Amino acid sequence: MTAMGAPVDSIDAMSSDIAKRVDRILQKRGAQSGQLIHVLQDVNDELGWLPLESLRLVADGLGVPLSRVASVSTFYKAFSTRPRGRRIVRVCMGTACYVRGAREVTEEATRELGIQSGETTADGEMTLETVNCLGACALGPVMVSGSVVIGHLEAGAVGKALEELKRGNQEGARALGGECVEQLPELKSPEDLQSWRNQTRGRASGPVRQALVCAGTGCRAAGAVKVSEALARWIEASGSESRIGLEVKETGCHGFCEKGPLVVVRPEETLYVGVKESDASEIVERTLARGEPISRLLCADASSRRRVLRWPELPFYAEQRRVVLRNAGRIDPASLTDYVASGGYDALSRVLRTMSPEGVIEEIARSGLRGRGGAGYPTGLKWKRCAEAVGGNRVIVCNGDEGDPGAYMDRSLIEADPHSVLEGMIIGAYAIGATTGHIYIRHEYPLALEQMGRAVSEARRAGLLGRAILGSRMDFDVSMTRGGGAFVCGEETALLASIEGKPGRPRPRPPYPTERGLFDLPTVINNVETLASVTRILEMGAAAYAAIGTERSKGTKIFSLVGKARNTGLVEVPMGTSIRDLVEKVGGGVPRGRKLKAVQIGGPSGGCLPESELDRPVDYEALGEAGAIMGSGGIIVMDDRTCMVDVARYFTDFLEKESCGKCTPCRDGLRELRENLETVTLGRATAGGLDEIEEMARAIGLGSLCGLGRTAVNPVLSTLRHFRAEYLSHVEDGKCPAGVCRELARFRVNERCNGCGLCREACPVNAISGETRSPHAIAQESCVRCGACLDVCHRGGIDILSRRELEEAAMEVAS
Amino acid sequence: MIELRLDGELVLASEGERLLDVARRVGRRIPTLCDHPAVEPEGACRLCVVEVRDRAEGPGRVVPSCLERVQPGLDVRTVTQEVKLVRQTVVRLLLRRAPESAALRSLAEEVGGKSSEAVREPTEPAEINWGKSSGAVWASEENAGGAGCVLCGICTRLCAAAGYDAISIQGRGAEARVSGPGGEPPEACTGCGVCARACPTGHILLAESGGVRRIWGRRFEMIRCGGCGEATLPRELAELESRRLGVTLVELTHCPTCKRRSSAEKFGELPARRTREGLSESGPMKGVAR
Repeated sequence: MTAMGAPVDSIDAMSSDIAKRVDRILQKRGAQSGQLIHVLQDVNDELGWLPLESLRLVADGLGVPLSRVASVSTFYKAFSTRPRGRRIVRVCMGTACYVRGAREVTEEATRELGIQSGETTADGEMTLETVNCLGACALGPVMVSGSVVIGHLEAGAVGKALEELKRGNQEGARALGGECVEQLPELKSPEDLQSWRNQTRGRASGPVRQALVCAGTGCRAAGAVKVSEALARWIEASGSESRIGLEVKETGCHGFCEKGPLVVVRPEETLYVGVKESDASEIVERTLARGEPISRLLCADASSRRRVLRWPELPFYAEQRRVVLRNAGRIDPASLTDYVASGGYDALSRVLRTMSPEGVIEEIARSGLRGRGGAGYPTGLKWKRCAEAVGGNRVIVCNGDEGDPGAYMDRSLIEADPHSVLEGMIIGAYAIGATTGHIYIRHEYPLALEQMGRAVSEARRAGLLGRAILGSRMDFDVSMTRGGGAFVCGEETALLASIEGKPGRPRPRPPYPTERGLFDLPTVINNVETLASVTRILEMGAAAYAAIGTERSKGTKIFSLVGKARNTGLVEVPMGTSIRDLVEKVGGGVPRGRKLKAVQIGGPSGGCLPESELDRPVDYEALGEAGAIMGSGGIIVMDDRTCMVDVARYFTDFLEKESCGKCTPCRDGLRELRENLETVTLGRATAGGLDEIEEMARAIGLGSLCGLGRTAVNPVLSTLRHFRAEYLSHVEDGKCPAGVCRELARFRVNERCNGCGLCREACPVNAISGETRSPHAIAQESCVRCGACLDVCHRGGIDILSRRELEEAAMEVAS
Repeated sequence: MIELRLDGELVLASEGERLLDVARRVGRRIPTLCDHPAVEPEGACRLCVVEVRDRAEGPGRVVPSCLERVQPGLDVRTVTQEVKLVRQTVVRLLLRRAPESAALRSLAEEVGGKSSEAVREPTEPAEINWGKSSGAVWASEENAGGAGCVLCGICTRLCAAAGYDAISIQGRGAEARVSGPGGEPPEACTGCGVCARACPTGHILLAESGGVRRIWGRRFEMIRCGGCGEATLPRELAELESRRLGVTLVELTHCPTCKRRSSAEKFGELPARRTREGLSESGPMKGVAR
């Protein structure tokens, strides 16, 4: 044996180890080419990345050409083509996090770890990644590692946070309650369902008082699980007599994510916000046992500062109309029993018993429901087309690939009330005659995947999926697909390609999926919120649903209200509510006395509306006229510290990275557009630069293949339309009025400074000096123009200047 | 027959015909890059866009004519402001990828506008790093000294249609690139060379000397014609296809001239055309590409 022998042996050993591990996965998944993405996901989880050798094993195992496996594995972000560290730290760069300083957090993490995003530290300990949106928008900026979510993270605290993670401080990480298998009845008829409901209702009316702990992603990150455990412990400890009738329940998202962890005590409907583990004993002793409110835990109304006892009276909730979200925060999403007790699957049972498939389609058409995924296509019409299409089997797909950064209603709905989505899907399947369904959920949403997985398996066990559902002649079952981390897969034809195990590149329509969809079968693709609305419509009746909303947009819409608003969270309002009411009444306006500047609606392909457009109602057409879109319903509030050129650059950069690369205008045009926008933010654009930007944007919008490219230019076109002056001030005066573009912005203390010292403390590079109570000064040579001083100053004591203005001012002083 | 309007003129077309084919049939010049007769259209390059209206006064839609099929009463305009803008932008963007490509330069002249002006410095696509130290050269790219890839996908589609599936588009967005799996020389490549011959920019290089063909970082021994000794097909390809088509290796690797001669000897004075059904210049691949 030579000296070289040892490493060769160990490489062989490693290879055979990889072979064994891949083989196990192949056996579990079954060797069908349609399993490609699932298998790659498993291998990626197992090995931490995808060595070329593993791809070869997968290709051989599934009988798929290696070139195709390589193509798929390099398309999706969830797959890593290089080794990663033991711990992966992700910083969310979603829009909501971005406007709250995610860029600074990323920069700080880069500095602390000494690596760029996407790289791994030399010791193989940590990999730093930025992700598009983790759906924890109300907590932004957010950093996560494994199951640890760190919300409201300021750049200054990044070092400490990384230190904690390095030490392996995983507290708060807990798998979603051990797998407790509840006894479920087998439902063979509508009568079975009804009698089960009566039984569970009898049981449910048991407790005297209930503490509902919100355990959605937001509240979980803030420590909700510990609160709920502590409450349970204190109830247990409070003695056998007083314990009777007290109950703790973990629910899904309640919507008011900013103030989490939330606890609601019923029947009084008292809302406690920001609850800590240490509050548990007092809540049990005073509120649960005796019904006394605890004043310090109540939520203060953002504008009047008055503490509010019952949650429905808070302006955040009072202006809402919770139709689709009716169960969110009220039932245990992990319990089919709870869903049935609250009236769940009654609509399905009635549909199967009394309605024809055509009748269901008719009913949905009458309700005026339009697709909630963004484009607003009438749901009834889509179903009708699919039902009438030529072909035997039909398929229904639930699109839960919620890729818009800043929007998280689908995640929340699935986490809080998965059965209402599933019920809508079964009803849809009945209407179009589908026997199979697919639920596609982003891999960034582990809790949603888990809740939906449990809902599907419980429904199956109870006979709500499978053969002869509720004793009818309907057979239907669903399978789940975990998305691979590609924004474009929200586009329906790309989504179908992805389920089929191909790279998610869109294909031209027609033919529409309703004629030729998944594996060429007629297919209906509905968004999560749409399907949950279907359930609700069949419960309340089409006429009642259509009575809500405007002429052309019926019912309610869920928005995620995030960014620079006092109250951020998930809200549901009737269509037609004005944007201003949403932002000012529900959202409580802009905090810290800053001015509202713009509202960005509809995700990265949406538009930015200025303050003057805010009286528009939320309605598909009204938003379109102003250059925005309904999209999935993300509303991002921006204040005067947001630079609209930078926002346009941010979205273009996002979409450039998410372009699938198939057609030229989107793939290469967005890149050039982003470069051109960068020259503006760097102050290097020429006078003709804006025309060039506008022309390129128009060409991309006209010439792109799918909706992603065609709408990708909305942020640029809408900001050019409504905020042209701001662009011009970058180009002509070399000035960024918001003080965001670092190459341009210069800060100077003005005469309003009272020497409070806040800015001095906030400055990360100690560039501010001055005695307390006397005017401060900024040392320009060490200032990094992060704007931290501007954000903390209450008095408007800091001016934003251009470089030239600053120089002129300095000359004046000198002379 | 279907009647439609093309730049104001009434034209007749058969059911299912593509707008691109109709327009070319009646003498319109429509530029294309990613269209190839042997594979399904993709609508990827967007050069062939035209503007269509369902009714003369309705709103116009810009659509790729390689995908759009004829419809009765359709109003098609092959040159409008919008069409020009898209074509000029596309050519200019592609020139950044392949500044030296003669095909793109002449397209730039054809569509005019800013596209013919100087373009920005080309940007190299980023590495897809397969666990190698950064800066590692993609083995299969040692031959990509060509004019630059415009990601039209003709090569990968032809390769898949031939049943080899040796190369594919990897990565996504502007960083996507064509290569063998993981950037390695593609094991499944047979050296047929169809990709290189069809590449519109000449990016894929095929070199042949001393009885060896090099492509995608691989080397293929060439089989010589039994008649004259000229190198005809890579051994790997010939052996695979001889099994697949049930033709002897000797027959398959005869050069076209010798083949014609031997056929003529066999059949006497038959017209030369008959023998073309066998294998001629573009012959070896014909049966495969389908």
